[in-house]
Amino acid sequence: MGRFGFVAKRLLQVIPMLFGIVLVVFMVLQVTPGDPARQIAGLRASEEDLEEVRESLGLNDSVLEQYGRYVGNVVQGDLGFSYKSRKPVASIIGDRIGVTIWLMGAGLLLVVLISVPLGVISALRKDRPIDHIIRGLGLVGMSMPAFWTGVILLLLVANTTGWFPSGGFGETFGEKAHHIFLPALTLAIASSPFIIRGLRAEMISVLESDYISTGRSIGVAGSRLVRRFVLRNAAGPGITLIAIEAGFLLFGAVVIETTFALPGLGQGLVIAARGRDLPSVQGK
Amino acid sequence: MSGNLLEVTDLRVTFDVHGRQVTPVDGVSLTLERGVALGIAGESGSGKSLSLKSIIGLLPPNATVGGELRFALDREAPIPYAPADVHGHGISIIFQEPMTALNPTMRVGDLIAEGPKLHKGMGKKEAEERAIELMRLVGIPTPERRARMWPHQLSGGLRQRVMIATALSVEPQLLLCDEPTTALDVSIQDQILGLLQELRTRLNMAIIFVSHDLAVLGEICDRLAIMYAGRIVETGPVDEVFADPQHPYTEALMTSVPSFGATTDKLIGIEGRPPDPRDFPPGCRFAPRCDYAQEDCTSADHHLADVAPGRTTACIHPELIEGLGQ
Repeated sequence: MGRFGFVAKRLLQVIPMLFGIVLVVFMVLQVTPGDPARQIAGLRASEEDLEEVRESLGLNDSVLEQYGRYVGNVVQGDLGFSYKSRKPVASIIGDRIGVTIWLMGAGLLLVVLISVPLGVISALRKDRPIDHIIRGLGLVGMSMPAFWTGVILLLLVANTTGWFPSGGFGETFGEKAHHIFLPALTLAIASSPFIIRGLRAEMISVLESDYISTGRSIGVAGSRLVRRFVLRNAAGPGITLIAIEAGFLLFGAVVIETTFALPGLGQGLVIAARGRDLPSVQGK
Repeated sequence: MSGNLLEVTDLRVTFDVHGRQVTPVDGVSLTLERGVALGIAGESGSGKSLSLKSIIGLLPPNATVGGELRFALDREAPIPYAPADVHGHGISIIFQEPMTALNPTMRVGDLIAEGPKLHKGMGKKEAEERAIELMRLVGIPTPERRARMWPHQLSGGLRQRVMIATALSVEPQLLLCDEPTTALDVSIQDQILGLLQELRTRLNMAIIFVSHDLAVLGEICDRLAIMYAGRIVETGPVDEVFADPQHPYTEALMTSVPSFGATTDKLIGIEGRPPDPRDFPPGCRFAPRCDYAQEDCTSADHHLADVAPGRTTACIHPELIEGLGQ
C-alpha cells in the first residue's frame, strides 16, 4: 500500500495545481493588451463588425463568466476553437505535440549521452586539466542563449556542410531523426552543463564516502568501482536532476522550434500569442 | 612462520592547506609481528586513524605520504610496497561506522562476494556460497536469507559483522580496525570484540586496532602504542603499559578514564588542549600540558628510547613519573 498510496496522494495534489495554472494563464491573457476581435476581423473592420465578432466569441461577458465557461469546457476535454483557424484547439495540439515530443525526447537522449560521460570524467579527474576543460566548456554552453546557439549551428553546420536540413520536419523515422538532430543538439548544449555539474558534484561526494574506501580496500578498482560503487549511488540524484531539467527543456523548445521552423507546440504557441488567439494559447 | 609482518619507518602524512604544509602524522615508526594484535591509542586528531589509512593507501587524494612501508605477505621478510598494492591482498580494513562503510546499493551478500570473485577467480555461484560461508564465520544467523538483504535492513551489530566478513573475504594476514566498536552499543561492542578475538586466533591474523578507548584496547591487544600529536610516545605490552606508564601522557590518559565505583564523582581531565597540527610546540609536544615538564623538555628531540625489554618511551625524564595510585 505505502508506495502506491504515496503516488496516489501526489497525483491528487496535481489537480488543484492545474486549476491554479489555468487561472493564472487565463488572467494573464485577460490583461495582455491587444484585441482578439481586431486580430480576427482585420484592421479595416468597422466597429459593428468588431462588436459582432466579440458577441459571437462571448468576449462581452464578464471575466468571471468567461473563466467559468472555459474551465467547464476544459474539464470535459474541450479546449475550445482557435479564433484564427476555427479548428478545435485540441486537434491543433494533437497535430503539433508529436514534433515537440520528438524534440524533447531526442534532446533528453543527447543530454544523457553528453552529460553522463563528461560528468563521470570530470569527477574522476577532479582538478586535473581535463576537468577544467569540461567545466570551462560547460560554462560557455550554459552562457549561450539557445536561440543564438541554434542560429550558429544553422550557419556553421547546416549551411556550410549541408549534412543537416536547416528547418522543417520529416515523414519517415529516419527523416525525422535527421531533422531533429540539430534542434536537439541545441537543447542539449544549453542543458547538459547543469547536469554535468550536478553529476560531478554528486560523484565527488560519493567518491569521498566510506563505502568507496571499503570497495578499494578489497581490491575493487577502475571501471568496476565506478559502475558498482560510484555510479549506482550517484544515479538516484542524477535521475532527479535530469527529470527537473526535462521541465526546463520545454521552455527551450519554444525558442528552438521557432529557430528551426519545426511545426511543434512551441512554434504554435508563438504564432497563437502573436495573433491573440486566446483559446490556442490557453490550451497549450 | 614467525618474524615481522609489517614495518613502518618514519611515516609522515602531509596535507597542503592553502599553501601551508600541515603534518598531522609526523614520523611514526612501528613493527608488527605475525599474529600479534597492536593497539594504537590517542585522542581525536592525534593522527592514529590517518596512520592506519596510510598503511592501506586510503588517504584523501590531497595527502602526501612519506617514509617507508614494508609488508611480508607470503614471504619471509617484509619488502617495501606501494599502499595500493595491498588492496585485496594481505591487508584489509574495517571502519567505525558500518552504515556508511557498506555500499547502500549492493546486497550484503554481493558485497562480500566481490573479494572472492576478484581475487580467487571464483564464479558467481561459488562466490555467493563463499559469502554465505563467511557470514556464518562471523556469526550472522540465517546467512542465506541475510545475504539477500540491503545494509539498511540490518542492525548496527550485524552491519559490522558484514563489514568484517567483507574484510575477511580477501583472506588478509593483517586486519586494520579503525575504531570498529565506537559506534555500537556497549553490549554489541563486547560481541564484536569477542568475534575479532576469536577470528584472530582461528585465522592467525595480525591486527592493528585504533581506538581512544583504553578499556577496549586492553581487552583485545597484546601490545600498545600511545600516540600524541602525530607521534608515538610510548610502546609496550598492554598489561605493563597499564600497570606502569613510562610517559606522562599515558599516565594522564589513564587517570582520565572514569572508573566504576570510583571514590570521587569528579571527572579528571588533562589540562589544556591537544596542540593544533598547524602549530606543534617545539621539543616534546606534550611538555606544555605535562605536570613533570623540565626546562630541557621543550628542546628535546623526538626519540623512542628503550626503558625495559619490549618497552620504549619518548619521555626524557621517565624517572620523574610517580605512577598511578600515588
